[in-house]
Amino acid sequence: MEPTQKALAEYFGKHRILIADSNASSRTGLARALGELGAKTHQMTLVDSYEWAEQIMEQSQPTMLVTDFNLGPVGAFDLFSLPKYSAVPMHDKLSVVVTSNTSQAAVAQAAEGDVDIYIAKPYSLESFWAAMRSGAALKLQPTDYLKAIEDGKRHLADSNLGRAIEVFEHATSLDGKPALAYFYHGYTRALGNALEDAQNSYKKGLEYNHNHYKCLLGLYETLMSQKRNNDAYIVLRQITRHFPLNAKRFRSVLWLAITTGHYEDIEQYYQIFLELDEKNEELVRYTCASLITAGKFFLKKGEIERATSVFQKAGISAGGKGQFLTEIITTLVAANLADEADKYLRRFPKETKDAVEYLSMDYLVMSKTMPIQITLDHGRKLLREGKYHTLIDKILVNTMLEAGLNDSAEDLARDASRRWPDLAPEFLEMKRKS
Amino acid sequence: MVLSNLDWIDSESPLVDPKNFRSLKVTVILKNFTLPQDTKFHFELLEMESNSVTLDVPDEFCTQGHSLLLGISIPDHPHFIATSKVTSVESIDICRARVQVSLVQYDKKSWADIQTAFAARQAMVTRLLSDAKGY
Repeated sequence: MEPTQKALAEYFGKHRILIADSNASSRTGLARALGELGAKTHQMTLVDSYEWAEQIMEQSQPTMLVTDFNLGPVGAFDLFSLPKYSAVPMHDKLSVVVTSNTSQAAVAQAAEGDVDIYIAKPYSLESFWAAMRSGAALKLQPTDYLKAIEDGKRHLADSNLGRAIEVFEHATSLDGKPALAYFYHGYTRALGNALEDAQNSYKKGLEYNHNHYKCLLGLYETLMSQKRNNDAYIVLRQITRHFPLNAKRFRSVLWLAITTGHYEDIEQYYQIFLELDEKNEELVRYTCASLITAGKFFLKKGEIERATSVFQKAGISAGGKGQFLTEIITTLVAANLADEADKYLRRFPKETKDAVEYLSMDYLVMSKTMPIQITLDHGRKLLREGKYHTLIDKILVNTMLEAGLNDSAEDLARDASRRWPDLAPEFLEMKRKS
Repeated sequence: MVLSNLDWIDSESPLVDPKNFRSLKVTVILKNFTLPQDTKFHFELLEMESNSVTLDVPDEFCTQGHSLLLGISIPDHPHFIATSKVTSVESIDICRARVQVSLVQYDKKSWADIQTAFAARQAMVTRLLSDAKGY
C-alpha cells in the first residue's frame, strides 16, 4: 500500500534539508517544490558552494541532502560521504541529486554513493514530486527484503559478521531477484577473509542480475586481493561495458589492461578518457603510459600505422610532458622511425627547449636524420656549451666510432665514464671497442 | 577457474560507448525584441510544464507581460521555437531572475517531442540508478 499524502507530508516535514546548487533560481525552485511536498521552510538551508554546504553539514547535520552534481567547479558528491551525513542511518536520510549532468558515468557514481533519487534538469514539477514520493515511500515502507538488508548492514556496522551473514542469507529468500542480498552476503564473507565464499555469493547475485554493479565490483575486488589479475580484468571490463568508470577505477582498468597484456583495448579506453569530465594529473600520466606501452606492442607486432596513431594520441595527451615525449621519441628512433620521432620534438614546450632533456632528444633524432659530420659538429658544440647528458655522450662516441675517429671516441668515452660513474662500465666498453 | 560459471561475460565485444559519458546538451535561446539584439545572455532551463517553462535569466532581461521568442535545442531532435509571454519574474539575487513564461504560439508536436525526450532521459537515469543499486 502506498503511503498516504499525510504520511508523506509528515515524512518531508520532519527532515532537516540542505539544498546545494550554485544556481539561485534553481535552489529557490527546489525549495518551493519540496515545500509543496510538506517540507518546512525553516528546516531548509540553501547554499551555493561546497564549502558552505560542508559547514552547514557540520553545524546542523541535515537528514536530506539535495544537491547538484557540481557546485561551481567543485564536484559535490563528497558531501554524501562527509562523516556527519554518513553517520545518519540509511532509512533516516534521503539523498537526492538534481542535475543536468545525466551521463551514465555520473549516475553510476551516484549509485555507488548510495544516492536514493537522481533527477535530471530540467524537470517537470510532476516528475520531481513523483520521484521524491517514490523515494520517500521506499524509506517509509521498505519491503521486507530492504528491511532485512538494512538490518544486516546494522550488524555489519557492529562488526557482528556471523549475525550479518544469517540476516543476509535470510534476505536472499525475500525477493525474486536478490542480487543485493547476495552482494552483502559476499561482502560480509570478504570482510571475514573468506574470499572464495565471497566470490560464490557475488556470482550467485550475478546469476539474478548479470550486470549487478555491486556484485561485479565485489567480485573484481576479491579477485584483485587474490592477485588474479587476468580474471579481475575480465570482470572490470564487463563493468566498463555497462557502467562507465570513475577516474579512480579508470586508472585500475588501464593498469590491468597493460599488466594482463590486453593492449588492444587501450585505444578504446583512450576514447573513454577523452570523454571523462575529470582528468587529473595522475589520470593523464596513466593514460599516456598505457598508450605508449600499447604503441610499443603494436610496433613489435609490425603494425606501424597503428603504433604511430597510438603514439600520436599519447603525444597529444602528454601536453608537453618531457618524460612521455622522451619515451615516444626513443622508441620511434629505436624502431628506425626517426622522421616520425621528429614530430614529437615540436611538442616540447618552448621554455624547455634549452634543457638537456630536449637537447638530447633533438640530438638523437638528428643523429638518425642528418649527415654524420653535422651530428659530430653538433655533439661537440653541445659538450662545449656544457650541455651534458648521457645520451649525448653515447651518440657522439658512437658517431665518432662510425666516422673512424677512434682516438676521439676513446677520449670522450673516458670523460663520459667520469661524468657518469654509474654508467662507467658501459662507456668503458665503448672505449674498448674503439 | 573462478569465472567458470560466468560464461555470459563477453570479453571480446567492444567496450562501453563513449557517448555514455555525455550529458544531453540543452541549448536555450531567448529573445526579447525590446532589448538590443547584439548582447549575449546566458539562460538556463529549470522546469518544464505542459505549456510553460521556468528559466533562470539575467536580472532585468524581461518583465511580466513581455513577449519572448523561446528556442530549445537538444541533439537529434528538431529545434523547438515558440512565442511566449512572461507570466512572472522573481529577482533571486543581484544579477539573476527566475522567470516563468507560458507558451503562446508553437508546434504542439515538436513541443511533445521535446517533452518526451526529457521524460525518456529521466526514465533512463532512474533505470540505470536502480540497476546499479540492485533494487
